[in-house]
Amino acid sequence: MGNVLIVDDESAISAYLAKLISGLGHHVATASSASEMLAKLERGDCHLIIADILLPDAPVPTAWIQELCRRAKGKPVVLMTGAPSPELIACATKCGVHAFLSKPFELAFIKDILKTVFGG
Amino acid sequence: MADKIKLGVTFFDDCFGGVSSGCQVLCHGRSGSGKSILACHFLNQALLDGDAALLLTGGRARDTITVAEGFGMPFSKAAADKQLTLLEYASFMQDQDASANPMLPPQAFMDLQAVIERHSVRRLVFDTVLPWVDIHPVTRIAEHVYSFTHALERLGVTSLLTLTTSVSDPSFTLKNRLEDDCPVAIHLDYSQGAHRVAKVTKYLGAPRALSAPMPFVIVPGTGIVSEAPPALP
Repeated sequence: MGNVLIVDDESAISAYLAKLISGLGHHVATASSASEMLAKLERGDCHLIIADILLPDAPVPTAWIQELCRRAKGKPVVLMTGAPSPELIACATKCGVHAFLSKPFELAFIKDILKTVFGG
Repeated sequence: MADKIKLGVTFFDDCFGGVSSGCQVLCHGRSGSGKSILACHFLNQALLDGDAALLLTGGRARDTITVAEGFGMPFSKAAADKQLTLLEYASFMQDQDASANPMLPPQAFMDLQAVIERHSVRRLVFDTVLPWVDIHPVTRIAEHVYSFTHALERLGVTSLLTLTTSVSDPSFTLKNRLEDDCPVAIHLDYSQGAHRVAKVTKYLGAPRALSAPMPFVIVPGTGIVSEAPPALP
């Protein structure tokens, strides 16, 4: 079991993922902005970050991905967005992002992602 | 590069060598253009290859079995043997539609995932794809279609998506988005007094208008066959 940080300004998505992930026995923390997320990340007790790319206070997406991965310090990062551009996918790949999930359908694969990160 | 599997329509497979395993194939055209029959060929090819297949139909499953059996495709036995699973939207997506909460994956998609895993489905037909991607507002269609096709890719099944096209703007928008995101697109058409034609408008990401129109007929007992004369040896 691990600690999962979910970051999305859409409360419906945060609530959906939090319910699903906590139902699998993991500890969940949520943040609704980039600044809140970075503050929680500084505590250092997070094992997996699931973050939206478009947040109100985040920089442009490519810069945000780079900053997020840098602050994650090697912890797996899963990104969520609508339809990502090839540029975003290339940036995420270069930064070592664990997975890229497009909303809404690919959110259904979050259980598979958790299995690959935490095993079981 | 993914292995190729046959689509199940001889003239297409002869010309293109099949489709990549795990890809999404869009088959679009007007009502009555032959999309559902092409879907039967796709499912029948799965049965011939020993793969488990699943059909999600907007009509009645028993009608599909009757039509397929009329073309010599053993759907009845395959359904009894659990190699072919037939589901109807009317019961599978009851009281649901893609617009219910466009931010979240529909419960029906999770149900579909479960069916695919339970039956080890390798090929999947949505006849029609409309209930999954017809969302409002229309500005969300691009994201929705992108996510749907990528989710199918993640499922690891080879999918055929049929779409009845009309002359309305939303219909064109939807068709164009699906055509953008599906690696293979086939347009079926007919006109009164003229032959039916299939045109492959996209093939594994290659430019559109790739093939010349392929004339075909629907033959009782056989299904879709090329109307072109046999090639000389």
